[in-house]
Amino acid sequence: MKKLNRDVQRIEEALIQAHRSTSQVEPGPFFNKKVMAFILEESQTLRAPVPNGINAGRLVWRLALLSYLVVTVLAAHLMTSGMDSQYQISMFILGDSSSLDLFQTFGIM
Amino acid sequence: MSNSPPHQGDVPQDSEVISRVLGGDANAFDTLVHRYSRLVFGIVGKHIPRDRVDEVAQDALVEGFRSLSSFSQTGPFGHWMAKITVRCCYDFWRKHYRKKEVLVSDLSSEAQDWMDNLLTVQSNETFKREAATAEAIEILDHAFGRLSAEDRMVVTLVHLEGLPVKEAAVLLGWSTITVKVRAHRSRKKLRRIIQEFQDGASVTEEVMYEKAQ
Repeated sequence: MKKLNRDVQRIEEALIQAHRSTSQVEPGPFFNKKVMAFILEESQTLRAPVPNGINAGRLVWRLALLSYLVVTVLAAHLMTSGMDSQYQISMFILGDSSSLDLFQTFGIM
Repeated sequence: MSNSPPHQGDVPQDSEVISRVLGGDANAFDTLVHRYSRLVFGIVGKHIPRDRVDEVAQDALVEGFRSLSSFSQTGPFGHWMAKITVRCCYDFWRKHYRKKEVLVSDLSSEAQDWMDNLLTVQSNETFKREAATAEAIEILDHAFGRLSAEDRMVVTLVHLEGLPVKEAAVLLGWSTITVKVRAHRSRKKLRRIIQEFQDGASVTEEVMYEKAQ
């Protein structure tokens, strides 16, 4: 068993050496041009890089967190204050009687 | 991994070039392609078969351009590009395993003979000479074909290239613990596969099952 392990280790060692001795692959003479041609061609459709200061991606996620907090606080407030929809609608109409016609037009009230 | 080249005369620094690209001058990225294509090729060449190196290196550089806005500029651009390149190599293998394009045929008789000969070699020089042969690469390719994409990446970075676990973790974007555990397990798997090659046995169902996962 010990000999078997030693053999495997020796082969493994040789494989590591084989990997390390492989010659480095060099880019071909037209590689850089090919990459740039691709980038320029696609740059219209690619997601354009945004300057670091105005990172839209980060901004969206920060706003998402902010909106989540606002919605949570509002929901908590509504739950604790107790919501009576009929009372609130009548308050709204009394406060803005011009909307009454609109409600009647649509047959809401 | 090379750092940002020193400022010499009219040669713009990486940060200046990056600012120009982010300002909308996509042509300026050409400077970075010239500076870092060798680095990218060097990394890709260690992970990907030679006939696909061009394609993956191009993917890495294009990905570098696409993600340039996420480069925080706290470290050298070369390190950041190296991370992107390693992840592109990982993506390449993941796609290939999904498509089942990996070689799973038997070893050639030359490769089998190579293993037998290697074990009888006494001198160090002969050992080194034997190691640098096409058969060794064939065995390595076959063994890797039987590992998962994750194991392949970890074995290459940690065991074959000898990178510290911490550095491999940064390149792969994994935790140090994950890399440590996987490096240990994948090395055991590799040894088991070598053992099977040596015995001339076929792949065990267990390894195939793990690869399919």
